[in-house]
Amino acid sequence: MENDGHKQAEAALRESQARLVGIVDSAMDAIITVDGEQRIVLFNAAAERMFLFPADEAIGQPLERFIPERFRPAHSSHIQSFGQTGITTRAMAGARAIYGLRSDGKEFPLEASISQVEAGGQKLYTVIMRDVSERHLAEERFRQVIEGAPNGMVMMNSDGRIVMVNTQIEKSFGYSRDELIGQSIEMLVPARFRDHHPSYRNGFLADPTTRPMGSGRDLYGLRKDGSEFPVEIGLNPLETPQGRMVLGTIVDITERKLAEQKLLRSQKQLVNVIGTAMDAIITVDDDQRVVLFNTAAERMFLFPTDEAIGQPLERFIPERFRPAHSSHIQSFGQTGITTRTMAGSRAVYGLRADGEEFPLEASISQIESDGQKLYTVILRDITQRKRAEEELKEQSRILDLAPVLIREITGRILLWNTGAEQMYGWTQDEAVEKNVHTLLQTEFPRPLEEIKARLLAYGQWRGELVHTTRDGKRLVVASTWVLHRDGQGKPKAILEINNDITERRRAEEEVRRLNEELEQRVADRTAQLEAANKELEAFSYSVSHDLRAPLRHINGFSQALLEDYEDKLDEIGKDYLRQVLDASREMAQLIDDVLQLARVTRSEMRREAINLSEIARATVTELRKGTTRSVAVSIEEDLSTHGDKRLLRIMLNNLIGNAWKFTSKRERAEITFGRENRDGQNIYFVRDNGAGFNMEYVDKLFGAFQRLHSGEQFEGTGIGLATVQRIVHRHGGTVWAEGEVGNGATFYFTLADFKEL
Amino acid sequence: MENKVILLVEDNPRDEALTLRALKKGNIVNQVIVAHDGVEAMDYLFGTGTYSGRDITEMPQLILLDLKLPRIDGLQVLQKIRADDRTKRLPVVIFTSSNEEEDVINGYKLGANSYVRKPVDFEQFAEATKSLGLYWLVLNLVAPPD
Repeated sequence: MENDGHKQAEAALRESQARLVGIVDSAMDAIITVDGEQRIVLFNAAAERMFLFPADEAIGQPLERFIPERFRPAHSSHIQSFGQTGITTRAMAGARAIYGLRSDGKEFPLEASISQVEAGGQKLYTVIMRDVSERHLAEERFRQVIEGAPNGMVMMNSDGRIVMVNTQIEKSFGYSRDELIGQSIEMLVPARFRDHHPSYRNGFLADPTTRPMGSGRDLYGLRKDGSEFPVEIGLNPLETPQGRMVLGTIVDITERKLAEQKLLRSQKQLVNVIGTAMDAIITVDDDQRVVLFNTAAERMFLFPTDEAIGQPLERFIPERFRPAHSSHIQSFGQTGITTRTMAGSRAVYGLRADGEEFPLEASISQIESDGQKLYTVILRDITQRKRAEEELKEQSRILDLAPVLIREITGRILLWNTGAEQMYGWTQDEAVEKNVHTLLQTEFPRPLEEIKARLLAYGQWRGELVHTTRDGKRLVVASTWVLHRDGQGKPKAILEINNDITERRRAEEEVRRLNEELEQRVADRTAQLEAANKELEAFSYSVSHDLRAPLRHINGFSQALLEDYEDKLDEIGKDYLRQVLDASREMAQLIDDVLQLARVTRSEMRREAINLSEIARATVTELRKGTTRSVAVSIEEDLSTHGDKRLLRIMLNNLIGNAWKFTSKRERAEITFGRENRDGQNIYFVRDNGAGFNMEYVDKLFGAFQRLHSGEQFEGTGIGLATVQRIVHRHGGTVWAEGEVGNGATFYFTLADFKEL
Repeated sequence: MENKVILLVEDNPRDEALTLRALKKGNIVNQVIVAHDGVEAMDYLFGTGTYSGRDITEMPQLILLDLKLPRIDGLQVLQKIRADDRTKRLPVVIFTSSNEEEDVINGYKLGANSYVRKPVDFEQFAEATKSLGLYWLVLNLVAPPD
C-alpha cells in the first residue's frame, strides 16, 4: 500500500518532470541552470543551438565558459549578489548589453533573465537567454535608417524625453544631438503650443497608432535660434525593451508650404483667369460630362454654370454634329496629344440654350489627373468674325471686279487680279513678270516720262489710256496709278486700277453728237420762232397803222357829217351816225388791246426789283383823273417782288381798271389790292365790290375776246384778262378768279420770284 | 399870224381832209401847205423840184409830220430836216397813228420836238390838233433866225 502511493507519486513526479523537460527543451530561448558553484546542471536544446555546444558536454561546465572573458568577473559577482537578494527573478543587466560566447569563439549579444530556486538545500540559478544579435543588428540597421533618413526623426520615450535624434533633426532645429538627447521634446515646440503638447503626447500614447500628428492643425517647429518653421509630423509607436517609444518623423514643410501657397495663388489666379476669360472654357470628364463651365461659357450658351455642371457636353452641340463630336473627343483622348485646335477648316457650331446655333472656334486639350482624363475645350464665338469674313470676302469679290494690278516702276507686273484677267484676257500666269506697257500696248495721252514725273511728284496719276486686249480689242481705260514707297521713301511699286470706259466714251460721244444735233435743231427752231416773231411784230405794226387809219377816217367823216350837216339830219340819221362813231371807237380799242396782247406775248422780259404797290397807286391816280366817282381804294404797302415792270404795269392796269369799271354802278365802290400768304406762297389779289360774275363761266374769263357782260353793261373788249393771264404766265405764276353775281369779284395771281429762280 | 405857214406832211387824202377840218375847227387859220410825201416836203423846204423858185427864207412855223410816207418815210424826212442848218431848228411834231415805242424813241432821237398820236376818235383828234396849233403857233417861241 505504501508502495502504491509512493509509486503513484513517483509516476506523477516523473510525468511532470518529463513535461517540464519537454517545455524546457522545446523553448526557443536558451535555458541554463547552474548550481551554487555556477556549474551547469541543465542546458536545453536552444542553449545547444545558441552556444553551439552539446548539452551533455555542457553539463558540469562552469557558466563562465559561455561568457566572454572580460565580463566574467562582473558576472559571477552579479549572480552571487542576486542570490542574496532573494528576488525570484529579474532581467539581467538592464540597459547594459550582455554578451554570450559561442563555442566557436564568436560573441553575440544576449538578453537574459535570471531566477533562483532552492531545492534540497541547494540554490539553483536558471538563466533564460535570448540571442539578440538579430535584434541588435536590426536595431543597428534601424539606427542607420533613422540616421540616414532625409526627414528629421526623433525618438521619444513615454515621458516625452528625447531618446534619439538623427542628423536631419540636428540640421532642421539647429541643435547638436547632445543638446537634445534626454531633453523634453517640448523644447522643439514653439512656446504657444507647449502647454497643450504633453496632453497630446499622452493622448497618443493612450491610443498609439501610426498616424500623422495634429490633423487639420498647422504645426511648427522651434529652432535653436528662436525661429519657427512649419512641419508635418508622423507618429509611430514603438515597443522597445526600454519601453514604449514614439518615433516621430518631422518633415520641414517650409518649401512645401511655400509651394502650396504658390499653388494656391496660382490656382486663384487660374480661377480668376478662367472666370474672367472672354473665351468660354468648358472642361469635361471621361464621360463627357461638364465639370467646369466658366462665366464666358454661361454668356455664350445662355446657360447658368451651376446647371451646366454635370450636363453632357452634347447639350451644347447641335444635334447633327453630336455623333461625330463624341468620337472626336475619344480619338483625341487616345492620341495623347496634349492640345490642338478642333475641326481645322471646318466650321464648328455651338448650340445656345435658346436653340440658336452659332459658329465657333475651338481648341481642345487633355490632362490626366488622378487616373482620370479631363478634356478642356476653349471656345470663341466667331459669329461676328464670320460675318466680317463674309463681308471681307464679299468686299474682296467686289474688289476683284475692278481690274487691279501692281507693278514695279519699270512696268514689270507683280500682281494681276481677277478683274484684270477678265478685262484684258491675259491670265495671271501670263501677265506676271511681263512689262505692262508692252503687254497692253498702252497708248499714253502724254509722254510716259511726263506721267512718271507727275506720279513721283504727287504720288498719284489719273488719266485715260488706250489698252489693247489679248484679242486685239482697243479699250479706252480710265487709269489711276498710286505710287507705293518703301520704308525709306524710295519708290517701290505702282498700284494701277483701270476702268474700262470704252463704252462710256462711246456713250458720251453719242450724247455729244445728239446734243449737237439737238442744239442745231433748237437753233433752227429758234430761228424759225424768231422769224415768226418778227413777222408777228411787223404784222402788229402794220395792224396798228393800217387798221387804225381807215377807222380814223370812218370816225372822222362820220363826225364831220354829224357836225356839218346837223340841220339836215333827223334824229334817226344822227343816231345812225352816232352808232357808226361808237363802233369805230370800239374797234380802235380792240385794236389797241390786241396790239398790247401781242406786244406782251413777244416782248423780252426785263427782270428787276419792283414795287407793285407803287404801280397800283399810279394806276389808281390815272383812273381818278378821268372821273369824279368816289372809289375807296386800299393798297397794301410795300408789295415788292421781281419782274418786268412794264408788263406788270399793264397787268395791274388791266386788273384795277376792270375793278374800277365793274364798280362804276356802285354808290360806294371799294377796291382792294393786297397780298396774302397761303402755305408759304405769296398770293396777290385785286378785290372789288362791283358787279361780280357767275362762277359757272369762270373758265371763259381769261379766254381772249370772251366777255361775260354785254357791251351795254360794261364796255370792254374781252382782251384785258387774256393779257393779264399772259403776263402772269410769263412771270411763272398762275391767275384765277372768284366772284359772285352782284357781290363783287376777286382776282388772284401769283408770281414766281425770279430772284429765287 | 397869217403869214405863219404850217407844213403838213401827209400822204393820206382822208387824213389830210380830216386834219384840215380839224385845224379849221380849232380856229387855226394859218396857211397850210400839204406835202403828200417826203420828197414833196423836201422840195418845199428847200425850194426844189415842184417848189423850185420858192423863197426859202420863208420857213414854216410848224411841221406836222406823218411817219408812214411813200418814197422817203417820215423819220428820214425828219433826219434831213435836222441835218440842214436852214431847217434844223424848225418845230417838228410827229403826228402819226403809230404809238409804237420804237417810233417814239426814234422820233425823239432824231430830234422831233413832239410826238402826238392821231386818235381815232375825231373829237379827240380835233382837240389834239387845236392844242397843237395853239401851242406851237402861239405860245411857243421859235428860235430866231441866225
